[in-house]
Amino acid sequence: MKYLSIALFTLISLTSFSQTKFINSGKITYTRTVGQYTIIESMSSNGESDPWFEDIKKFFPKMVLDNFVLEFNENRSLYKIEKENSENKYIVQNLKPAEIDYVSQQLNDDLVVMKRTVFENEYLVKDSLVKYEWKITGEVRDIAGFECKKATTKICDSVVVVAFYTDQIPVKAGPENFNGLPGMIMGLAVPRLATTWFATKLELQNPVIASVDILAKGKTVQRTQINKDLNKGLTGWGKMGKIIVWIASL
Amino acid sequence: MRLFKHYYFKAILLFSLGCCFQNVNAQNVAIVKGQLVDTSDRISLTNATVNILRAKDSVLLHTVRADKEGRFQINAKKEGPAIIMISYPQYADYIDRIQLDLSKELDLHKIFLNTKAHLLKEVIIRSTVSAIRIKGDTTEFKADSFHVTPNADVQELLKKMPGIQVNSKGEITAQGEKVNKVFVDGEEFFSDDPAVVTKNLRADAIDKVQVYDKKSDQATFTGIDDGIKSKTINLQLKEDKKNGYFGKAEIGTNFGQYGNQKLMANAFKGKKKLAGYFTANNTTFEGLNWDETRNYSDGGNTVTEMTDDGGISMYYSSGDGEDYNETIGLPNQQSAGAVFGNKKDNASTNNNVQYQHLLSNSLGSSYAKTILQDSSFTNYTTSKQKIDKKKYKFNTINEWGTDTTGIFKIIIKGANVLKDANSENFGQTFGESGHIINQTKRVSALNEDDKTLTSNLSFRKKFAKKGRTISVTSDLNFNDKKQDGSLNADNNYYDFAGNILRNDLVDQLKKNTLNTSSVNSSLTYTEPWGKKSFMIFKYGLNVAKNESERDSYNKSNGQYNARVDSLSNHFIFNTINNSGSVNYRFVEKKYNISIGSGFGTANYKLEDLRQNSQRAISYNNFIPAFSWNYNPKQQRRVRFSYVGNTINPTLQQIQPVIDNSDPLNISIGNANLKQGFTNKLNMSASDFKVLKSRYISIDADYANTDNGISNSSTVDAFGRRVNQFVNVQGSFNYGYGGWFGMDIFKGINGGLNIRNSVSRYINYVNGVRNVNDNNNVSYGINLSHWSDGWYNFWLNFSANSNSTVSSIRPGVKTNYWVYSFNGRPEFKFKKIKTYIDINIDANIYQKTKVFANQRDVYIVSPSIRKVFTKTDAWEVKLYVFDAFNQNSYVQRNISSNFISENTNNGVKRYFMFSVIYNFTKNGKPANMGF
Repeated sequence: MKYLSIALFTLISLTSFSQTKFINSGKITYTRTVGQYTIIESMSSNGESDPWFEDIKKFFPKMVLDNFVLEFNENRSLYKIEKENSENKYIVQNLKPAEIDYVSQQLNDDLVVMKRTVFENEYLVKDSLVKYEWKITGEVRDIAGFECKKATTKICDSVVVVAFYTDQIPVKAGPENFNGLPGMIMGLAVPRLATTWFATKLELQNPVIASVDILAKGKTVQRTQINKDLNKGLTGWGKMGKIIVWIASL
Repeated sequence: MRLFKHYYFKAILLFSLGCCFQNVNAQNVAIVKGQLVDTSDRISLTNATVNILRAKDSVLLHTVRADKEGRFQINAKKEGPAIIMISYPQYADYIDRIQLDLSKELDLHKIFLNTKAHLLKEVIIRSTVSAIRIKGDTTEFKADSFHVTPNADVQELLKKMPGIQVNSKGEITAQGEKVNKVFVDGEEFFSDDPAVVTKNLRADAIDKVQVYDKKSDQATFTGIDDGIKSKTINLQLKEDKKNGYFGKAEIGTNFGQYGNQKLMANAFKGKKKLAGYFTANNTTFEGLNWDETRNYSDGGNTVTEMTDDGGISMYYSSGDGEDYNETIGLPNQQSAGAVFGNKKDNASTNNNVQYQHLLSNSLGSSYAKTILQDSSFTNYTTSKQKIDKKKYKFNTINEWGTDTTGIFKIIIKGANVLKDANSENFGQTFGESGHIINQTKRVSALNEDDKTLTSNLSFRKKFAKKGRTISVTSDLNFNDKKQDGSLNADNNYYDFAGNILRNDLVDQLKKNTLNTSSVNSSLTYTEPWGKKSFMIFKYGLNVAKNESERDSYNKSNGQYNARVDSLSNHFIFNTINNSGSVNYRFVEKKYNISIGSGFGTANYKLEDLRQNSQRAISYNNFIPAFSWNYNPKQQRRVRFSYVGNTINPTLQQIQPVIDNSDPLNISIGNANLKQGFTNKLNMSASDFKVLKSRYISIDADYANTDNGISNSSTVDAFGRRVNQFVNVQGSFNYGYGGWFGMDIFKGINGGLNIRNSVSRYINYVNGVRNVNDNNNVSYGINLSHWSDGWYNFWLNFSANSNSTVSSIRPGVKTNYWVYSFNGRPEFKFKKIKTYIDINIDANIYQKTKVFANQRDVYIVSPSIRKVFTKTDAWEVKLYVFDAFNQNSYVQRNISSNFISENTNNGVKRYFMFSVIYNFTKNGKPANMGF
């Protein structure tokens, strides 16, 4: 009921000002849903009859939800976990959000800085924005009261990513490292990771986001460093290793 | 100089490139510009999105926003056919094809955008026409009514359905409209893109194909139709989509004495599982291995648990703890079983029946030397044993409910074990100077019928308030054991000159019955206390009743009917255990603390029905505990724990049952035994770096016991050992060690470990307090490699030093080294489908005075298997057990005043040629392995 009223409120308030107004800054809350059983079942040719998975299912929920926030203004965005939820049980530990992790994009300067925890390593990455080749499909859907258009791209050469962006927020950012669409990404899905992000709330505010130069104090590495370390450390991990690389590449 | 040259060249290159770019900018840009205007209001559409897409694949090339006057300009860098797509909230998209030409400016001038309200009318008119064709919201097709070839995919199925077309790219058109979404069971994103979904799903897995106009999510959510719809196909999967079977048949032989047969199958239909197996072999004591237990039986005693840090751990204990005695010698076993399981949303059932017939024949000899302060004597025994055992078992595990409603679980297990055992023993004991002290000869037979029934009922529920849970469990156990046996013994005791001092002739019939019933119940309640802490309350009540009747009969007038009173008894033994505990647990993000204690009373009551006497004992139990866990980082942790607990003497220790089956070992009771108390401290720290494959851990533990219960043995002149339990002070043990492991070379992991354990054990020998100090140091090295490549291996090497000294013989220090090596290299030649495994197990002993004739044992068992046919259905395997014929089945035990060595017969070197047939339909490969 609470969510319904928030959604209705956003819907009504947005339809009223959307005629005349575009949003250039604010804070979006995304709910990220991970369908964990789908991931583990994809690791075997026949997951269902495998007793190992049956055991796992007894201890872990089918879906696990976490909220992330994206603060943005015309030039900068900062994406991070809203609040760490220690009760959440992730089968793939690499999907468990780390409180210290964030991604901050500086759109006009083609810069990104991110803190990313991968196993024992905490990377501070400073690099140019990730370039995605987006295909616009023309499909439309409504997310949190915003009319969104669908676009698709691929990461790691073959992993399909589906995004929904809105023209009403002319900031070319989104969750994780995603960027480069005509407007803000309000919904995101990575089918092979059985994971979706959908905006549930938008707060109108003018957040102060530190510049990349300030955030990137300390020893920084390039984004490729993470993949280099993973490829070395995950030799022989098979399908699981691939999944971990995809997660680290988001 | 060379370096300088390099940079110099680079600088020139950069400079010239810069010039080039300037030239490009001046000439080779395709400019697209225009101005956006609203058709009705004629307002300028500030901030409208203007996208340029590549015509062939809709890839976004450029995106800009219109300025205050609605003007836009795009400088495209590449030429070719493109699409311009302009959008503005609440307005219909403007889409047009354009041609990008470098060095040409494309001015689209004024572009008029229509509001959606304006456009919608046309859409409605069009859809009324098509509505007549569709008939209702959803068109549903039953998949089975369309004939497709076996193994056909969903695309082929869709092509057969009226009104649906699929083009060469996999794009689907339904009722004239492009289908943008294909759902599987109503889920949109947990499967891949439409073309991929329809290509990868088998047609026979589909129950229904539903075609409908999906409302927008907002409309579905609010119930208010906003008019936005898209053509959607939903593929409803069959309930029994996962329908198939797998299994294997195996026949092995060495064309002689040894053989091995296996037949096993698992059929599944949806969540229903029916599996069965039959095995027969005469080389091992086990019917099924771990993999087979999980696939074809009930999973055995696999326990899966969730660890504190959210991981899960799984361990497996094999069989039901067969007596060691019954797993020596030459085996011959047959087993069969069946399991049926079913799962629904909130309920599951698992039912299992098993049969095993085990025959074992063993021949053994043993040597034991007992060393006292002033003398020593040695015993030699040979034995022959034949056991025939049949086991019938069933179990059923049923579960209902969810975390919120509460989970109710019932487990019932029943077993009937029929055993026939015959054994013969011949033993002689000699003194230091080689003179005989005693000689025993005995033949015994036992026929046992053992029935057990155990049940477990449990209920657990999580309340809405986070952290509040309740769980109730109750176990009911019944055991009914009947034994009929006979004992024939001829025991002689000699004086120093070799004259018989005493002769015991035993010819008895033995009848024992034992009935046990018990109820163990417990209630656990956890209550959150503030945001970060919990209180855990537990109460347990165990009530047990044991009735034991043992009768020995001597022969009189050709009939075994003269009861031997000294060896016959009838007891009723009741215990009542009451216990409660309170624990406080504090959970922070990086650390948690638990502190609490258990209290309880244990009441024993023994009633001797023959003597008409009673004995009642009661103890108070106290179990304080504390633990602290600290997780500063992922995969790094420090732990510290303390637990103390009372140790109660068992009734066997206070008042043992008199038994004459082994006349050289006699037990007597001790009514003065006191309760003991043990303190245990443990600390450990570990750090695991996954990416560097580096693992470090250290740990240390310490335990001492106040009033510990130990053994006092007195050896009499006949060489008989009289054992009694006594309280001792001063025993303790401690140990510490560490592990270190890392990736040493391209996926090869290496590890080192070291451990030192020190213990002091106190007992009494012929009335003298004996302090045994034992010091054990071990070093280990291991190497392993695990990958999908052509080889895998693990190799362990360890060196163990053992030194013992005891106070009754202070001058003698036993010290020796044992080196062991075991490993398993595996080679996979996937192209020729040939696999080679080698199992290595070696033990090398230091030659010492005590074990001068010690033989090193190394067992190497290689196997090679080749897989045939396209589907890998056939497999041929050649296996050699103990290729160098080294297995000697010797067990040694050494301490300062006792040395023993047992030798048994067993399976020696053999080869086995096996043919295996794997069959499967929609199932997994028979041997997947994790």
